[in-house]
Parts: sequence; C-alpha cells; structure tokens
Amino acid sequence: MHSGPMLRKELVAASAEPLILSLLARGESYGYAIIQEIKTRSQNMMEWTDGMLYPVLHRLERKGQIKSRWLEAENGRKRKYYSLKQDGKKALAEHHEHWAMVHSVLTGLRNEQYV
Amino acid sequence: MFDLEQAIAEWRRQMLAAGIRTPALLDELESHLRDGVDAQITSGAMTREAFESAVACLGQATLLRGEFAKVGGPGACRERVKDAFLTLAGIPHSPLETDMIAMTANPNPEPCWATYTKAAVFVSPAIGLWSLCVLFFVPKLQQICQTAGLAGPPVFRVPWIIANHTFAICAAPVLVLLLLEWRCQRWPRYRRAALGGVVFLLNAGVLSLITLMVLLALLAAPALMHHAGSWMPSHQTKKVV
Repeated sequence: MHSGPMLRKELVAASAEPLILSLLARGESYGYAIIQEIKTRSQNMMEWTDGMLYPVLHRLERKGQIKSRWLEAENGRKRKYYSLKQDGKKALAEHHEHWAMVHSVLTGLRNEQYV
Repeated sequence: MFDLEQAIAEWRRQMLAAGIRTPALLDELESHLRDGVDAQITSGAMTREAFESAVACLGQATLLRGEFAKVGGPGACRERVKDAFLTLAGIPHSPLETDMIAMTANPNPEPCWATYTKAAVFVSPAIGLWSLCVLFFVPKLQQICQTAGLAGPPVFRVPWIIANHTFAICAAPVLVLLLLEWRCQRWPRYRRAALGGVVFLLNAGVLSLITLMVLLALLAAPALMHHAGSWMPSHQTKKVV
C-alpha cells in the first residue's frame, strides 16, 4: 500500500472532471460508487469531501457532457445514475491529451536532471 | 434507541434550513448518505456512529449550498455577487471551480507582515499630515479663532478634540489589532480587508479634518479683518496723538 502525502487540493480539484469522465466512460455509475472507486484507485491519497462530488456532476451535466436518470437499486432504494454523453467523450479525449502533455513535459524534465 | 429514519429526517431539515431546497438534490444527497451508513454498518459500526460518520463525510450543508450555487441553480446569482464583493474586498474565498475538498479554514494568501507593511505605507501620508497639523496649524488656528471671536457649531470643535486625543485615537486601533491577532482565529481571513478599510477611514478622516480647518480659517478671516479694522483706527489715533 502506497502511503505518500495527500495530493494538493489544487491538483485534486483540477483532476476531478477527467477522473469522473474516465470512470463514467467505463459505464453508468452513481455518486457514492464514484467516490469509493476514486478512493480505492488512489489508495486514499485523493481526499474528496463526498458532498463536493455532486456540484461537479451537476456542472458536467449542465455542460452536456454527462446525463443522469433515477433508477431503483437492488436494495429497492432510488439512485441517480450518471453516464457519459458524446460531448463527454470528446472532453475526456481532450483531458487525456492535456494531462499526457503535462506528464510528458514533467517526465522529460526529470529525466534531464539525471542525465 | 437511535432512530435512523428520524435522524435522516432531521438531517434533511438542516439541509433545507441551510438553503438546499431542491427536492431532487436532497434525494440524491440522502441516497448517498444512506449508502454511506450501510457501508459503515457492514464494516461493523453502530448505527449512530455510522450515521454521524456518513454525515461528516458528506460535508457541511452551508459549504455544499455554496458549491451548488457556483454551478448554477437557485442562489447562483447571489453567490456570484458575493464572490465579486469578496474579490473586491480582498477577502480570500474559494474560486468558482469546485474544490472537491471542503475547506474548514480559508488561508490568507498574503503574509501578515506584508499586509501590515502596506497598511503602514498607505497610512503614513495621513499620519505625517496630521502630525504637522497638530504641531503647527491647530494651535495657530485656535489662536486665530479666539482673536476673531469665532464660536461656530460644535462640529468646529472636532479638530481641537481630535488633536488633543490623537494618541488615544491611534492607540485604540492598535490595541484592537493586537487583540484580534492574539485571540481571533478568523482574523487572518479578514485582516487585509479590515486594515484596508481602517487605512481608508484614517486617510478620509484626516482629509475631512483638514478641509474643516480650512473652512474655519475662511470663516475666521472676515471676523479677523473686522477685528483688525476696529482696532486700527484707535491705534492710529494714538500714534497721531
């Protein structure tokens, strides 16, 4: 288990949209599941306040990148499920491009340090 | 015995009171809360602890309302006006993008020493001018007013009163600032805006007092001339004799 310092809040905020879009690209999901998935995948290094996920989801929905619908879960409770729209796929591709560029610049600079 | 349904109903009331009034949004947050409670209970927590933990994970109602307002919906316009005001006042606040992490305290981006240095620099012209007034102009003007027999409304006495109590008037804000730095935890957030306000008020106050003194001198001038006029003939008479 990796136990480094928590990610800076600016980085967490900046990565929220691409991460949510990436998770939804794998299939329909709901708020609580998204939060748990992020926590597990980041090995609890990304600290999200649960409630803060919903404004981001609503913003993405307002931008037309995702859509939502109420479904009844297996336990009989209603849950709001989110899924990716075509614009969301385009936005995700853009996010991937940008993050890959940042990663490439950062890696290049680090490699130069050790030459 | 802890009643989960009652606790959730109470939590909904608190959310409503904090301004989250959209039923669909409340339902969605409640669904998340229930998922959190279920997960905690599955991992062995008691119902009350599970509920309290899930509520804490969800975040404070007022912060949530603020975040929802930023992305649109009811209260968005008010939130934008508030953001604009805070930006203009120089009070640190979260940007329009959602932070994902609920802040418990807003850090002040400007160091304490920088705020005080700037405040001292901006207030120094007012202090310099007022010192000059207290040392030279106020005594002279008092003498002129006495000679001219000018007794205007009480507002004309304000410069003398302030000149006599300059030390106390300066010491009071310094003491208040010391107390705020020592005792008030929220003070760093408002330090820059408050000091900016104090500096503005001091500069405006000194300008107003100087204007008032000029006005006094202008009012005293005719009376002084009249006084000189009534004094001159007798003097000249004596000289002639």
